[in-house]
Amino acid sequence: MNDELAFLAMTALAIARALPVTVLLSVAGALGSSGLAGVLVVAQATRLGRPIAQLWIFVFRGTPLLLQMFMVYYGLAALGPIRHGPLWPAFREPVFCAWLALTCCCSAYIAEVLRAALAAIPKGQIEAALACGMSRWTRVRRIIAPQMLRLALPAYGNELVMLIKSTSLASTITVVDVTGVAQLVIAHSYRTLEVFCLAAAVYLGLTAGLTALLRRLEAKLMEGPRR
Amino acid sequence: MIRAPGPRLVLALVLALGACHATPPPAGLRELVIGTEGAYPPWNFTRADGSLAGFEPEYLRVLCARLHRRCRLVPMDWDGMIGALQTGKIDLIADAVQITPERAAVLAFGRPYGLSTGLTATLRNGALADLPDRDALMDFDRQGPALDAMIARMRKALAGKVVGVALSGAFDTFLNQAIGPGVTVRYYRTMGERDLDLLNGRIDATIEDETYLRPLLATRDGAGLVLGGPRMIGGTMGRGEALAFRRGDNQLRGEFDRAIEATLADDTVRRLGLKWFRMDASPGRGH
Repeated sequence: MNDELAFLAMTALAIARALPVTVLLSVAGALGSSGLAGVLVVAQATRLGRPIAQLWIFVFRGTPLLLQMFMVYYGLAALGPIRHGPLWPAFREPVFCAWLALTCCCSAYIAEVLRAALAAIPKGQIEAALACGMSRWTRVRRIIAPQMLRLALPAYGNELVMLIKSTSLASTITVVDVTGVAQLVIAHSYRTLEVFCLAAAVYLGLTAGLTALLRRLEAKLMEGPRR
Repeated sequence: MIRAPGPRLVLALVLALGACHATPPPAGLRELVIGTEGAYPPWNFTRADGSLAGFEPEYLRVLCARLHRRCRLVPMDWDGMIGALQTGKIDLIADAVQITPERAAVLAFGRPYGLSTGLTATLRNGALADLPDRDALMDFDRQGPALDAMIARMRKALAGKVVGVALSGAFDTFLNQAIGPGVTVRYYRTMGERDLDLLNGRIDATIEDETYLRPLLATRDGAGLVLGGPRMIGGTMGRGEALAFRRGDNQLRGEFDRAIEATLADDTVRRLGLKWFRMDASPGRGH
Protein backbone atom coordinates (compact mmCIF):
# COMPACT_ATOMS: atom_id res chain seq x y z
CA MET A 1 0.00 0.00 0.00
CA ASN A 2 2.85 2.32 0.90
CA ASP A 3 4.51 1.35 -2.34
CA GLU A 4 1.35 2.22 -4.22
CA LEU A 5 1.13 5.66 -2.59
CA ALA A 6 4.78 6.37 -3.31
CA PHE A 7 4.26 5.43 -6.95
CA LEU A 8 1.17 7.62 -7.22
CA ALA A 9 2.97 10.55 -5.58
CA MET A 10 5.93 10.19 -7.93
CA THR A 11 3.66 9.97 -10.96
CA ALA A 12 1.65 12.98 -9.83
CA LEU A 13 4.87 14.96 -9.44
CA ALA A 14 6.06 14.00 -12.92
CA ILE A 15 2.68 14.96 -14.40
CA ALA A 16 2.66 18.25 -12.47
CA ARG A 17 6.01 19.10 -14.04
CA ALA A 18 4.49 18.68 -17.49
CA LEU A 19 1.42 20.76 -16.63
CA PRO A 20 2.96 24.05 -17.88
CA VAL A 21 3.33 22.52 -21.37
CA THR A 22 -0.34 21.57 -21.52
CA VAL A 23 -1.43 24.94 -20.11
CA LEU A 24 0.84 26.84 -22.51
CA LEU A 25 -0.47 24.88 -25.50
CA SER A 26 -4.07 25.47 -24.36
CA VAL A 27 -3.66 29.20 -23.79
CA ALA A 28 -1.58 29.81 -26.92
CA GLY A 29 -3.97 27.62 -28.92
CA ALA A 30 -7.01 29.49 -27.57
CA LEU A 31 -5.48 32.89 -28.38
CA GLY A 32 -4.26 31.81 -31.80
CA SER A 33 -7.44 30.10 -32.90
CA SER A 34 -9.72 32.85 -31.54
CA GLY A 35 -7.72 35.51 -33.34
CA LEU A 36 -7.69 33.53 -36.55
CA ALA A 37 -11.41 32.84 -36.20
CA GLY A 38 -12.01 36.59 -35.92
CA VAL A 39 -10.08 37.11 -39.14
CA LEU A 40 -12.09 34.35 -40.83
CA VAL A 41 -15.41 35.95 -39.78
CA VAL A 42 -14.33 39.34 -41.08
CA ALA A 43 -13.00 37.75 -44.26
CA GLN A 44 -16.36 36.10 -44.87
CA ALA A 45 -17.92 39.55 -45.07
CA THR A 46 -15.66 40.48 -47.99
CA ARG A 47 -16.09 39.29 -51.54
CA LEU A 48 -12.49 38.12 -52.00
CA GLY A 49 -12.02 36.62 -48.54
CA ARG A 50 -15.27 34.67 -48.49
CA PRO A 51 -14.25 31.68 -50.64
CA ILE A 52 -10.84 31.49 -48.95
CA ALA A 53 -12.36 31.50 -45.45
CA GLN A 54 -14.95 28.92 -46.47
CA LEU A 55 -12.31 26.65 -47.96
CA TRP A 56 -10.22 27.00 -44.79
CA ILE A 57 -13.18 26.02 -42.61
CA PHE A 58 -14.12 23.19 -44.96
CA VAL A 59 -10.63 21.69 -44.89
CA PHE A 60 -9.75 22.09 -41.21
CA ARG A 61 -13.17 21.16 -39.87
CA GLY A 62 -13.41 18.19 -42.18
CA THR A 63 -10.11 16.46 -41.40
CA PRO A 64 -8.96 14.84 -38.14
CA LEU A 65 -6.72 16.94 -35.90
CA LEU A 66 -4.38 13.97 -35.43
CA LEU A 67 -3.79 13.90 -39.18
CA GLN A 68 -3.22 17.65 -39.24
CA MET A 69 -0.59 17.29 -36.50
CA PHE A 70 1.25 14.58 -38.44
CA MET A 71 0.92 16.64 -41.62
CA VAL A 72 2.44 19.74 -40.01
CA TYR A 73 5.14 17.84 -38.09
CA TYR A 74 6.27 15.12 -40.48
CA GLY A 75 4.69 16.23 -43.75
CA LEU A 76 5.84 19.83 -43.94
CA ALA A 77 9.32 18.86 -42.67
CA ALA A 78 9.77 16.86 -45.86
CA LEU A 79 9.22 19.94 -48.05
CA GLY A 80 12.41 21.68 -49.16
CA PRO A 81 11.25 25.28 -48.62
CA ILE A 82 10.29 24.45 -45.05
CA ARG A 83 13.21 22.15 -44.26
CA HIS A 84 15.85 24.49 -45.68
CA GLY A 85 13.96 27.78 -45.42
CA PRO A 86 13.93 30.51 -42.78
CA LEU A 87 10.92 28.96 -41.03
CA TRP A 88 12.77 25.77 -40.06
CA PRO A 89 13.78 26.92 -36.53
CA ALA A 90 10.05 27.14 -35.75
CA PHE A 91 8.99 23.98 -37.59
CA ARG A 92 11.85 22.09 -36.00
CA GLU A 93 10.14 22.43 -32.62
CA PRO A 94 7.35 19.92 -31.93
CA VAL A 95 5.55 22.38 -29.63
CA PHE A 96 5.27 24.93 -32.43
CA CYS A 97 3.94 22.30 -34.85
CA ALA A 98 1.36 21.18 -32.29
CA TRP A 99 0.31 24.80 -31.68
CA LEU A 100 -0.01 25.49 -35.41
CA ALA A 101 -2.18 22.43 -36.01
CA LEU A 102 -4.35 23.23 -32.97
CA THR A 103 -4.77 26.85 -34.07
CA CYS A 104 -5.73 25.97 -37.63
CA CYS A 105 -8.18 23.26 -36.60
CA CYS A 106 -9.90 25.12 -33.76
CA SER A 107 -10.08 28.38 -35.70
CA ALA A 108 -12.39 26.66 -38.19
CA TYR A 109 -14.79 25.57 -35.43
CA ILE A 110 -14.70 28.90 -33.58
CA ALA A 111 -15.26 30.83 -36.83
CA GLU A 112 -18.47 28.87 -37.33
CA VAL A 113 -19.57 29.64 -33.76
CA LEU A 114 -18.94 33.34 -34.32
CA ARG A 115 -20.69 33.30 -37.70
CA ALA A 116 -23.77 31.73 -36.14
CA ALA A 117 -23.77 34.36 -33.38
CA LEU A 118 -23.47 37.11 -35.94
CA ALA A 119 -26.37 35.71 -37.94
CA ALA A 120 -28.53 35.55 -34.82
CA ILE A 121 -28.47 39.31 -34.29
CA PRO A 122 -31.83 40.61 -35.59
CA LYS A 123 -31.48 42.58 -38.80
CA GLY A 124 -33.87 45.18 -37.46
CA GLN A 125 -31.33 46.26 -34.86
CA ILE A 126 -28.71 46.95 -37.51
CA GLU A 127 -31.26 48.89 -39.53
CA ALA A 128 -32.27 50.86 -36.46
CA ALA A 129 -28.63 51.65 -35.73
CA LEU A 130 -28.20 52.81 -39.31
CA ALA A 131 -31.32 54.93 -39.00
CA CYS A 132 -29.83 56.55 -35.89
CA GLY A 133 -26.83 57.48 -37.98
CA MET A 134 -24.30 55.26 -36.16
CA SER A 135 -20.99 54.86 -37.90
CA ARG A 136 -19.76 51.35 -38.80
CA TRP A 137 -17.36 51.25 -35.82
CA THR A 138 -20.01 52.45 -33.35
CA ARG A 139 -22.39 49.81 -34.72
CA VAL A 140 -19.87 47.08 -34.10
CA ARG A 141 -18.96 48.38 -30.67
CA ARG A 142 -22.41 49.10 -29.29
CA ILE A 143 -24.77 46.77 -31.09
CA ILE A 144 -23.00 43.82 -32.74
CA ALA A 145 -20.00 42.92 -30.52
CA PRO A 146 -21.77 42.84 -27.11
CA GLN A 147 -24.57 40.66 -28.43
CA MET A 148 -22.23 38.41 -30.37
CA LEU A 149 -20.20 37.82 -27.22
CA ARG A 150 -23.31 36.88 -25.25
CA LEU A 151 -24.72 34.64 -27.98
CA ALA A 152 -21.44 32.92 -28.80
CA LEU A 153 -20.15 32.35 -25.29
CA PRO A 154 -21.71 28.95 -24.48
CA ALA A 155 -20.66 27.38 -27.78
CA TYR A 156 -17.31 29.16 -27.68
CA GLY A 157 -16.69 27.74 -24.20
CA ASN A 158 -17.44 24.32 -25.59
CA GLU A 159 -14.74 24.80 -28.21
CA LEU A 160 -12.23 25.88 -25.57
CA VAL A 161 -12.94 22.76 -23.52
CA MET A 162 -12.44 20.66 -26.64
CA LEU A 163 -9.21 22.52 -27.31
CA ILE A 164 -7.79 21.71 -23.87
CA LYS A 165 -8.50 18.04 -24.42
CA SER A 166 -7.12 18.15 -27.96
CA THR A 167 -3.73 19.31 -26.70
CA SER A 168 -3.18 15.72 -25.61
CA LEU A 169 -2.69 14.81 -29.28
CA ALA A 170 0.55 16.79 -29.19
CA SER A 171 2.08 13.84 -27.35
CA THR A 172 1.95 11.91 -30.64
CA ILE A 173 4.53 14.28 -32.11
CA THR A 174 6.99 13.99 -29.19
CA VAL A 175 5.68 16.91 -27.09
CA VAL A 176 6.09 15.86 -23.47
CA ASP A 177 2.81 17.22 -22.12
CA VAL A 178 0.59 15.66 -19.44
CA THR A 179 -0.38 12.75 -21.71
CA GLY A 180 3.21 12.38 -22.90
CA VAL A 181 4.50 12.06 -19.36
CA ALA A 182 1.76 9.57 -18.52
CA GLN A 183 2.87 7.40 -21.43
CA LEU A 184 6.48 7.73 -20.36
CA VAL A 185 5.68 6.61 -16.83
CA ILE A 186 3.65 3.68 -18.16
CA ALA A 187 6.49 2.67 -20.47
CA HIS A 188 8.72 2.16 -17.47
CA SER A 189 6.30 0.97 -14.81
CA TYR A 190 3.91 -1.07 -16.98
CA ARG A 191 1.03 0.24 -14.86
CA THR A 192 -1.65 1.78 -16.99
CA LEU A 193 -4.87 2.38 -15.11
CA GLU A 194 -3.67 4.51 -12.20
CA VAL A 195 -1.38 6.61 -14.42
CA PHE A 196 -4.06 7.37 -17.00
CA CYS A 197 -6.50 8.14 -14.17
CA LEU A 198 -4.10 10.71 -12.74
CA ALA A 199 -3.62 12.29 -16.17
CA ALA A 200 -7.38 12.34 -16.73
CA ALA A 201 -7.83 14.04 -13.36
CA VAL A 202 -5.48 16.82 -14.47
CA TYR A 203 -7.52 17.45 -17.63
CA LEU A 204 -10.70 17.32 -15.57
CA GLY A 205 -9.26 19.95 -13.24
CA LEU A 206 -8.29 22.19 -16.14
CA THR A 207 -11.66 21.96 -17.87
CA ALA A 208 -13.52 22.37 -14.56
CA GLY A 209 -11.59 25.57 -13.91
CA LEU A 210 -12.35 26.87 -17.38
CA THR A 211 -16.02 25.93 -17.13
CA ALA A 212 -16.37 27.75 -13.80
CA LEU A 213 -14.71 30.81 -15.31
CA LEU A 214 -17.04 30.75 -18.31
CA ARG A 215 -20.10 30.37 -16.04
CA ARG A 216 -19.17 33.49 -14.13
CA LEU A 217 -18.51 35.40 -17.32
CA GLU A 218 -21.85 34.29 -18.72
CA ALA A 219 -23.67 35.35 -15.57
CA LYS A 220 -21.94 38.71 -15.72
CA LEU A 221 -22.90 39.25 -19.35
CA MET A 222 -26.50 38.33 -18.63
CA GLU A 223 -26.73 41.14 -16.07
CA GLY A 224 -26.48 43.61 -18.91
CA PRO A 225 -29.97 43.61 -20.41
CA ARG A 226 -31.70 43.41 -17.01
CA ARG A 227 -30.21 46.64 -15.75
CA MET B 1 9.68 2.61 -8.60
CA ILE B 2 9.21 -0.52 -10.62
CA ARG B 3 7.36 -3.39 -9.14
CA ALA B 4 5.26 -6.26 -10.22
CA PRO B 5 1.50 -5.88 -10.02
CA GLY B 6 0.21 -6.75 -6.58
CA PRO B 7 -0.72 -10.36 -5.94
CA ARG B 8 -4.35 -9.41 -5.54
CA LEU B 9 -4.44 -7.83 -9.00
CA VAL B 10 -2.77 -10.84 -10.55
CA LEU B 11 -5.21 -13.15 -8.77
CA ALA B 12 -8.13 -11.08 -10.03
CA LEU B 13 -6.77 -11.19 -13.58
CA VAL B 14 -6.18 -14.91 -13.39
CA LEU B 15 -9.72 -15.46 -12.10
CA ALA B 16 -11.14 -13.19 -14.79
CA LEU B 17 -9.17 -15.09 -17.40
CA GLY B 18 -10.32 -18.40 -16.01
CA ALA B 19 -13.90 -17.27 -16.28
CA CYS B 20 -13.41 -16.45 -19.95
CA HIS B 21 -12.30 -19.96 -20.74
CA ALA B 22 -14.81 -22.07 -18.83
CA THR B 23 -13.63 -25.25 -20.57
CA PRO B 24 -10.00 -24.81 -21.52
CA PRO B 25 -8.78 -27.12 -24.25
CA PRO B 26 -5.82 -29.36 -23.38
CA ALA B 27 -2.67 -27.26 -23.09
CA GLY B 28 -0.89 -29.26 -25.76
CA LEU B 29 -3.48 -28.47 -28.41
CA ARG B 30 -4.20 -24.85 -27.72
CA GLU B 31 -2.82 -22.40 -30.23
CA LEU B 32 -0.13 -20.16 -28.79
CA VAL B 33 -0.64 -16.44 -29.37
CA ILE B 34 2.61 -14.53 -29.70
CA GLY B 35 2.77 -10.75 -29.50
CA THR B 36 5.19 -8.85 -31.70
CA GLU B 37 5.49 -5.30 -32.91
CA GLY B 38 5.78 -5.88 -36.62
CA ALA B 39 7.61 -2.55 -36.82
CA TYR B 40 11.17 -3.32 -35.71
CA PRO B 41 13.04 -4.44 -38.79
CA PRO B 42 14.81 -6.71 -39.31
CA TRP B 43 13.72 -8.50 -36.12
CA ASN B 44 10.07 -8.27 -37.10
CA PHE B 45 8.26 -6.12 -39.60
CA THR B 46 5.08 -5.98 -41.62
CA ARG B 47 5.24 -6.53 -45.37
CA ALA B 48 3.18 -4.44 -47.77
CA ASP B 49 0.63 -7.28 -48.00
CA GLY B 50 0.17 -7.23 -44.22
CA SER B 51 2.12 -10.40 -43.47
CA LEU B 52 4.80 -10.47 -40.78
CA ALA B 53 8.39 -11.17 -41.73
CA GLY B 54 11.85 -10.90 -40.22
CA PHE B 55 14.14 -12.79 -37.89
CA GLU B 56 11.56 -13.52 -35.22
CA PRO B 57 8.63 -14.67 -37.40
CA GLU B 58 11.00 -17.10 -39.11
CA TYR B 59 12.69 -18.18 -35.88
CA LEU B 60 9.36 -18.70 -34.10
CA ARG B 61 8.22 -20.96 -36.93
CA VAL B 62 11.29 -23.09 -36.27
CA LEU B 63 10.69 -23.12 -32.51
CA CYS B 64 6.98 -23.91 -32.78
CA ALA B 65 7.71 -26.73 -35.21
CA ARG B 66 10.16 -28.17 -32.69
CA LEU B 67 7.55 -27.92 -29.94
CA HIS B 68 4.77 -29.31 -32.16
CA ARG B 69 2.60 -26.35 -31.23
CA ARG B 70 0.39 -24.22 -33.41
CA CYS B 71 1.48 -20.60 -33.07
CA ARG B 72 -0.05 -17.35 -34.24
CA LEU B 73 1.87 -14.06 -34.33
CA VAL B 74 -0.22 -10.97 -33.65
CA PRO B 75 1.15 -7.50 -34.29
CA MET B 76 0.53 -4.90 -31.57
CA ASP B 77 2.11 -1.71 -30.24
CA TRP B 78 4.87 -2.14 -27.70
CA ASP B 79 2.89 0.19 -25.38
CA GLY B 80 0.28 -2.42 -24.74
CA MET B 81 2.25 -5.60 -25.20
CA ILE B 82 3.22 -6.27 -21.59
CA GLY B 83 -0.33 -5.46 -20.51
CA ALA B 84 -1.63 -7.90 -23.09
CA LEU B 85 0.72 -10.57 -21.78
CA GLN B 86 -0.29 -10.00 -18.18
CA THR B 87 -3.99 -10.10 -18.96
CA GLY B 88 -3.58 -13.29 -20.97
CA LYS B 89 -4.41 -11.88 -24.40
CA ILE B 90 -1.09 -13.26 -25.59
CA ASP B 91 1.05 -16.12 -24.28
CA LEU B 92 4.50 -14.73 -24.95
CA ILE B 93 6.30 -11.77 -26.49
CA ALA B 94 8.78 -12.08 -29.34
CA ASP B 95 9.84 -8.51 -30.07
CA ALA B 96 13.62 -8.32 -29.65
CA VAL B 97 12.98 -7.61 -25.99
CA GLN B 98 16.22 -6.65 -24.24
CA ILE B 99 16.64 -8.33 -20.88
CA THR B 100 16.75 -5.28 -18.62
CA PRO B 101 16.46 -5.38 -14.81
CA GLU B 102 13.40 -3.12 -15.07
CA ARG B 103 11.59 -5.59 -17.30
CA ALA B 104 12.83 -8.65 -15.44
CA ALA B 105 10.84 -7.36 -12.47
CA VAL B 106 7.54 -7.84 -14.32
CA LEU B 107 8.35 -10.48 -16.94
CA ALA B 108 9.93 -13.92 -17.03
CA PHE B 109 12.63 -14.02 -19.68
CA GLY B 110 13.54 -17.13 -21.57
CA ARG B 111 17.01 -18.11 -22.68
CA PRO B 112 18.50 -15.28 -24.80
CA TYR B 113 18.66 -15.93 -28.55
CA GLY B 114 20.28 -12.64 -29.47
CA LEU B 115 23.09 -10.48 -28.17
CA SER B 116 23.91 -7.15 -29.70
CA THR B 117 25.14 -3.74 -28.59
CA GLY B 118 23.70 -0.27 -28.81
CA LEU B 119 25.28 2.26 -31.15
CA THR B 120 24.78 5.92 -31.91
CA ALA B 121 23.57 6.98 -35.33
CA THR B 122 23.92 10.55 -36.56
CA LEU B 123 23.65 12.43 -39.83
CA ARG B 124 26.80 12.07 -41.89
CA ASN B 125 27.33 15.84 -41.93
CA GLY B 126 25.76 16.47 -38.50
CA ALA B 127 27.30 18.04 -35.42
CA LEU B 128 27.80 14.66 -33.76
CA ALA B 129 29.35 12.74 -36.62
CA ASP B 130 32.60 12.43 -34.65
CA LEU B 131 31.70 10.93 -31.28
CA PRO B 132 34.50 9.79 -28.94
CA ASP B 133 35.30 6.13 -28.15
CA ARG B 134 34.27 4.84 -31.54
CA ASP B 135 33.64 1.07 -31.33
CA ALA B 136 34.99 0.81 -27.77
CA LEU B 137 32.95 -1.51 -25.57
CA MET B 138 30.92 0.35 -22.93
CA ASP B 139 29.86 -2.43 -20.59
CA PHE B 140 27.59 -1.22 -17.80
CA ASP B 141 27.99 -4.50 -15.96
CA ARG B 142 31.68 -3.69 -15.45
CA GLN B 143 31.61 -0.61 -13.24
CA GLY B 144 34.88 1.20 -12.76
CA PRO B 145 36.94 4.27 -13.63
CA ALA B 146 37.19 3.27 -17.30
CA LEU B 147 33.40 3.19 -17.64
CA ASP B 148 33.02 6.46 -15.73
CA ALA B 149 35.55 8.18 -18.00
CA MET B 150 33.71 6.91 -21.07
CA ILE B 151 30.37 8.17 -19.73
CA ALA B 152 31.97 11.56 -18.97
CA ARG B 153 33.25 11.85 -22.55
CA MET B 154 29.84 10.89 -23.91
CA ARG B 155 28.16 13.43 -21.61
CA LYS B 156 30.44 16.18 -22.88
CA ALA B 157 29.84 15.26 -26.51
CA LEU B 158 26.06 15.14 -26.13
CA ALA B 159 25.73 18.34 -24.05
CA GLY B 160 23.13 20.64 -25.57
CA LYS B 161 22.17 18.09 -28.22
CA VAL B 162 18.82 16.45 -28.94
CA VAL B 163 18.77 12.67 -28.88
CA GLY B 164 15.72 10.70 -29.99
CA VAL B 165 15.01 7.24 -28.64
CA ALA B 166 12.21 4.73 -28.84
CA LEU B 167 9.74 5.13 -25.98
CA SER B 168 10.75 2.48 -23.46
CA GLY B 169 13.53 1.26 -25.59
CA ALA B 170 16.41 0.21 -23.40
CA PHE B 171 18.29 3.42 -24.07
CA ASP B 172 16.21 6.23 -22.59
CA THR B 173 17.06 5.16 -19.03
CA PHE B 174 20.73 5.41 -19.92
CA LEU B 175 20.28 8.93 -21.30
CA ASN B 176 18.28 10.12 -18.31
CA GLN B 177 20.40 8.51 -15.61
CA ALA B 178 23.96 8.51 -16.94
CA ILE B 179 23.99 11.46 -19.34
CA GLY B 180 21.60 13.61 -17.36
CA PRO B 181 19.89 16.94 -17.91
CA GLY B 182 22.46 18.31 -20.38
CA VAL B 183 20.87 16.39 -23.21
CA THR B 184 17.33 16.82 -24.54
CA VAL B 185 15.62 13.46 -24.98
CA ARG B 186 12.76 13.02 -27.44
CA TYR B 187 10.63 9.91 -27.20
CA TYR B 188 9.11 8.16 -30.21
CA ARG B 189 6.43 5.55 -30.30
CA THR B 190 7.66 3.95 -33.50
CA MET B 191 11.09 3.52 -35.00
CA GLY B 192 9.94 4.94 -38.32
CA GLU B 193 8.94 8.29 -36.82
CA ARG B 194 12.25 8.50 -34.99
CA ASP B 195 14.21 7.73 -38.17
CA LEU B 196 12.28 10.41 -40.06
CA ASP B 197 13.20 13.03 -37.48
CA LEU B 198 16.83 11.92 -37.50
CA LEU B 199 16.97 12.24 -41.28
CA ASN B 200 15.28 15.64 -41.39
CA GLY B 201 17.56 16.97 -38.67
CA ARG B 202 15.06 17.49 -35.82
CA ILE B 203 17.21 15.27 -33.62
CA ASP B 204 21.00 15.17 -33.62
CA ALA B 205 21.41 11.50 -32.85
CA THR B 206 19.70 8.31 -31.83
CA ILE B 207 20.92 5.39 -29.78
CA GLU B 208 19.64 2.09 -31.08
CA ASP B 209 20.55 -1.54 -31.39
CA GLU B 210 23.20 -2.38 -33.96
CA THR B 211 21.00 -5.07 -35.49
CA TYR B 212 18.45 -2.37 -36.34
CA LEU B 213 20.92 0.30 -37.47
CA ARG B 214 23.14 -1.75 -39.78
CA PRO B 215 20.33 -2.75 -42.18
CA LEU B 216 18.92 0.82 -41.95
CA LEU B 217 22.23 2.25 -43.14
CA ALA B 218 22.09 -0.06 -46.13
CA THR B 219 18.84 1.53 -47.35
CA ARG B 220 18.68 4.55 -49.67
CA ASP B 221 17.46 6.92 -46.93
CA GLY B 222 19.90 5.53 -44.39
CA ALA B 223 22.86 6.33 -46.63
CA GLY B 224 22.96 9.81 -45.07
CA LEU B 225 23.65 8.33 -41.62
CA VAL B 226 26.81 7.19 -39.92
CA LEU B 227 27.35 5.01 -36.85
CA GLY B 228 29.62 6.14 -34.07
CA GLY B 229 30.35 6.20 -30.38
CA PRO B 230 30.97 3.24 -28.08
CA ARG B 231 29.15 -0.08 -28.29
CA MET B 232 26.85 -0.08 -25.30
CA ILE B 233 25.64 -3.11 -23.36
CA GLY B 234 24.66 -4.22 -19.88
CA GLY B 235 23.07 -2.42 -16.96
CA THR B 236 19.76 -0.75 -17.77
CA MET B 237 20.40 -1.42 -21.45
CA GLY B 238 20.14 -5.11 -20.93
CA ARG B 239 22.13 -8.08 -22.00
CA GLY B 240 20.68 -9.91 -24.93
CA GLU B 241 17.27 -10.40 -26.50
CA ALA B 242 14.89 -13.05 -25.24
CA LEU B 243 11.29 -14.20 -25.36
CA ALA B 244 9.19 -12.80 -22.54
CA PHE B 245 6.65 -14.90 -20.65
CA ARG B 246 4.20 -14.27 -17.84
CA ARG B 247 5.87 -14.69 -14.48
CA GLY B 248 5.04 -18.12 -13.17
CA ASP B 249 4.42 -19.58 -16.62
CA ASN B 250 7.38 -21.86 -16.07
CA GLN B 251 6.21 -24.84 -18.08
CA LEU B 252 5.88 -22.91 -21.33
CA ARG B 253 9.13 -21.09 -20.67
CA GLY B 254 10.94 -24.37 -20.01
CA GLU B 255 9.66 -25.87 -23.26
CA PHE B 256 10.84 -22.88 -25.26
CA ASP B 257 14.19 -22.76 -23.45
CA ARG B 258 14.96 -26.33 -24.47
CA ALA B 259 14.01 -25.58 -28.08
CA ILE B 260 16.12 -22.40 -28.10
CA GLU B 261 19.05 -24.35 -26.67
CA ALA B 262 18.77 -26.84 -29.52
CA THR B 263 18.60 -24.14 -32.20
CA LEU B 264 21.66 -22.42 -30.73
CA ALA B 265 23.54 -25.73 -30.83
CA ASP B 266 22.58 -26.63 -34.41
CA ASP B 267 23.56 -23.18 -35.76
CA THR B 268 20.01 -22.14 -36.71
CA VAL B 269 20.23 -18.87 -34.75
CA ARG B 270 23.57 -17.91 -36.27
CA ARG B 271 22.31 -18.70 -39.78
CA LEU B 272 19.13 -16.63 -39.32
CA GLY B 273 21.21 -13.78 -37.87
CA LEU B 274 23.44 -13.69 -40.93
CA LYS B 275 20.37 -13.77 -43.14
CA TRP B 276 18.44 -10.95 -41.46
CA PHE B 277 21.06 -8.78 -39.70
CA ARG B 278 24.05 -9.42 -41.97
CA MET B 279 25.85 -10.26 -38.74
CA ASP B 280 25.99 -13.00 -36.13
CA ALA B 281 23.88 -11.78 -33.22
CA SER B 282 23.68 -15.10 -31.39
CA PRO B 283 24.65 -15.02 -27.71
CA GLY B 284 27.87 -16.57 -26.50
CA ARG B 285 29.89 -15.40 -29.47
CA GLY B 286 31.82 -12.20 -29.94
CA HIS B 287 31.33 -9.22 -27.64
